[in-house]
Amino acid sequence: MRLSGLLYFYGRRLRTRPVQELLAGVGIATGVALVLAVQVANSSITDASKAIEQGIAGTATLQLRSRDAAGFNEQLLSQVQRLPGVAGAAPILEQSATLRASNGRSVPIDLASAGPGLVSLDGGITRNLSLHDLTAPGVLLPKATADALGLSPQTLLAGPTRIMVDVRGRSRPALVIAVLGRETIGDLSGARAALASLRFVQQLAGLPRRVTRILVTPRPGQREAVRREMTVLAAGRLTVAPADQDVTLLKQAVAPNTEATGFFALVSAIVGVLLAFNAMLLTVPERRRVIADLRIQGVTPHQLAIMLLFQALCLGIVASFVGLLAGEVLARTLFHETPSYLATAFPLGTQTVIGIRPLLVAFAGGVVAACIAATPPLLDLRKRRAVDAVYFEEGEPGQALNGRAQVQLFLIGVAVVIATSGALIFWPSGIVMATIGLAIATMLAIPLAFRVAVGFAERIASTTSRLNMLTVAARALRATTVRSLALAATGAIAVFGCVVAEDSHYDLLHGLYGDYSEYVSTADLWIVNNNDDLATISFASSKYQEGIARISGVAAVRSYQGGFLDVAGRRVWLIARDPATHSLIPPTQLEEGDSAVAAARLREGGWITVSKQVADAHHVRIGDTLTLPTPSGPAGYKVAATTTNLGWSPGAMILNANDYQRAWGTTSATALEIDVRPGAELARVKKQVEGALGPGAALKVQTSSERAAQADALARQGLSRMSQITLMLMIAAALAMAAAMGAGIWQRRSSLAALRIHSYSPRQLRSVLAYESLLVLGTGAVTGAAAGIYGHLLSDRYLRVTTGYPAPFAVEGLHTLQTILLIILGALAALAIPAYVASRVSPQAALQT
Amino acid sequence: MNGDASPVVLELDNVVKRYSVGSEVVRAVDGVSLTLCAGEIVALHGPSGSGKSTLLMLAAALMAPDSGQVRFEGRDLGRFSAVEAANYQRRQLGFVYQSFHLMAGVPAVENAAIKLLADRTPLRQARRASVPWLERVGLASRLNHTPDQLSGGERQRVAIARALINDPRLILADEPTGSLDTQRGGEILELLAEICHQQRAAMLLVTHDPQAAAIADRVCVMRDGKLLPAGTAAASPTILRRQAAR
Repeated sequence: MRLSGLLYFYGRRLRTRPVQELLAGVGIATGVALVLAVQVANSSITDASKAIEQGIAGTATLQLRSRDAAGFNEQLLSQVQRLPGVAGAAPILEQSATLRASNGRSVPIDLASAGPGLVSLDGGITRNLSLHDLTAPGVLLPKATADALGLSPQTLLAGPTRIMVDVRGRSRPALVIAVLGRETIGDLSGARAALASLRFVQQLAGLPRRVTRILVTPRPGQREAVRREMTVLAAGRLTVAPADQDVTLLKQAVAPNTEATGFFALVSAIVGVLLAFNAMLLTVPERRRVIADLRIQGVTPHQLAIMLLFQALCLGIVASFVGLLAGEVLARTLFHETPSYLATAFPLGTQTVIGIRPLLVAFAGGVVAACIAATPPLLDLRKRRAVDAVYFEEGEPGQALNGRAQVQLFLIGVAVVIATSGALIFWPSGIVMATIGLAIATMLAIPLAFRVAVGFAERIASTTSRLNMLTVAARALRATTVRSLALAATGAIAVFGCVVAEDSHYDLLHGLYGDYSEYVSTADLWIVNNNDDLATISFASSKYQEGIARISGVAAVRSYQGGFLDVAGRRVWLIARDPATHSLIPPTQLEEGDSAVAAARLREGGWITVSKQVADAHHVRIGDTLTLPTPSGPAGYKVAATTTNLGWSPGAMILNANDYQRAWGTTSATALEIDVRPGAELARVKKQVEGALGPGAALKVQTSSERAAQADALARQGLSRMSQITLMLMIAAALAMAAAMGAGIWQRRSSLAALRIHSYSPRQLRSVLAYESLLVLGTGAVTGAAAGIYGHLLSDRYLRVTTGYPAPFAVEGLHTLQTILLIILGALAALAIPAYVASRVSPQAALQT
Repeated sequence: MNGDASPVVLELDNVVKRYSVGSEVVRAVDGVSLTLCAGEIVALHGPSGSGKSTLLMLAAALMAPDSGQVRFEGRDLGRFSAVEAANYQRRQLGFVYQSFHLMAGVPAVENAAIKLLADRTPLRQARRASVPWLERVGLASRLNHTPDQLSGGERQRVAIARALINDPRLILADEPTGSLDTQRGGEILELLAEICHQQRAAMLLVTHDPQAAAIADRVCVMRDGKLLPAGTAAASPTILRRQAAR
């Protein structure tokens, strides 16, 4: 068949069945949009960070970096520059800080120095900045940061704008020199950061002549030689790493998030394919009749197959394109927020980065889904099939499944679940594969579940003649067509995905809250830097400690030290506690080992607890020695116990503060823990402590419960994308099912008209349609929920075993019910209008052949 | 055929039904008067669009006339409330149409009982009630067969059993043989006639099938919404019988 012929037939189809084609297109576009948005939301976190790193590092491929936030002497720069093979080197001092505007807004940012030295590296950051900008005493703000602070261009033009910079416990004013847009610094304009000259950053941080990194560009072919020389220079006290190490570490940190969103992308893809399949099934009767007519006219099966494929391709390409546009809008609006909990450890961007891979995956998925969904009419091209078979079929078109096939499919589903669950024992991180298996099994179980549901409905209906309409509905569903099954499967997959994700999400939130509550319960009051949720930023604590200890309600003041340490590809959270702390290890977070013994060993010194996945990665067990790259050189510690990751995905370590002070060479606290005397009023003591800090301190006093609530809010914000995606999934599934069911009801007008002739009132027809819809949606939802609970169990196991998160499994019955009801009621509400109109069909429609 | 002594079942008196098609008003039924007595079969012929199906809808109280009266056993259907109309359709009326409209996947015994369910008859009782009718139409051995396991003729027999399950006083049949071959069509017509006579039910049979004349007591012809006067060439049963014989 020529292209003109193919176009003619497709044009004819579009003219005669525009609504059907539109519905099919909407189904495909919805799936494509969900898949793209989820992928982009996921990859944007690391891609934005990568853009920032590249903007700063430019041609640098290596770096010498400090193992703590206090950095090292900048004089090392000249030694690096003198190394043979080094083409360029630039120092950087980076600090976690908080910016506060006069309008009351505050933003946690990455404060980085951007001196003239960076020009030699030719990073995007320096290309369009003048030497004056890079040396002036003030800060340069990327546009995203200025926006977050509410600094409009008008504000800046009106006159000099000052903001407060809180860093290392001190609050200092700084002039905003400029706001840097995309045209000046490229993707870096989306960063939550502030740039300033090295001297100014050193001054703000109170770290004169210190830097945290030296970026190095080796001459061509000299990279390995330079690395070796840098390693000698580092003398075991600094880390030599690739320049983009932060991106690699961030990827590792967000790996569980990547898995979770990957899972969602998968569920979205399956729902998308099912939506497309549903929508295309609506067009099956018409397509089958066209096939029959054309075959009678002598068109060959081969030509018809090409025609169908062409039509599916046209639909798939157009709908996928629309889906990409919708997905981009979703990614830039609803899924735009960056998880804040990562901000203290990594430079984060806010921009949405849409890579070519997500675009291709989503587009190709949409086109393939359209082609797969277009295949049912091809069954009429089978050799033994009568050419005009479609004209001699009774009832709704579609291939009904017999009882044997239903049981066989169910058994295959059970086998798939057993196989994938079994594989998890040997490959614990294979959760995505297991979820795919479970999703497939859910779909395979639908035909039998549907039969059981219809049988159950018939039993109930037989008890009273008041439920005769249920009998009619159940009978109408007996010849379970592919369309009904596809609809039920769509509901099942949507509910499955929502239950797995939301329930695991709840478990994770409960687990994190429990963990954090225990972690902060060691003191009644905490003093920390603003926005320093993990207490990793040090401040000059000694000047406050004495004054606070004198407050009448204060029983004790302890130093708490913490930070991040890069250990074998992970940015691990360090917790160093005073041996006098009553509960050194959060008791419920212990994975292996005895709590009392481990605590005693920590107090003794030379011992640490390690997150289980970190211990596994290093192949160490309790009693083994783990060597850490500390600022004073490699130091070995014995493993006292293993714990969960304490809510920090790369893992955590707890050690004795004395050990920490020795190896890190600092007594600066990152938090002060305060015990309140029994009987003293907490609020009053808190106020007194705040008073003792004085006006210049950029510190916050919090009760342990306030701190736990703040961590909970942070965890909820970090995981909010999961809620948003599940909500989107539920809405999309409900609407798409309603659209497909509505169109299906519309196509059944003649059989409804026949019932009207047999004295069925419109109200009775509405009852029949409502029962039918409930049975289809209910079967899908309940099957999906059952599979979802099992998937939730697997997911929690993955979170605990593979990622080390505290996620105690609990069936969220009420929430599962809520998900089921939301999807069913949403679909029923959207169905109400087509069902109402169809129930009022003229009986005359039954007389038309 | 049934003699003047038979009670009148259906009476149409100068019935008019108009439709609006765009700006044009079409008189689908234009002043039709017709009487059917118990046990009488009236065949209604006419080209497509002549108003035959509309006439059936009026007789079934599925639509009301714009003027004139449709009376069932003396009662004006136009004055029926929705409940009365539903009761009339459930208890007095049987409807057979060309597209059998059987429920796919549902056995014959339940397809035939579908009308009783609308009247709150318990399913078991409805199934029991449909068995004799299915036996009567020759499907005693096919009670539990689903439509896809039945031939076209058998499906129409199920549809007939469904129409007759309430012992109707009036049977309205719209092209009941339209989807069947000549032999099966003839069998169905004979079956309908036999049942009609035995039950003393009146039947208005809309058909293009020349064989219908063989079973009809009267043949009427509709054209442009009007019932042609008896004795016109087009309305002559003799002519139709001759066609049937051919």
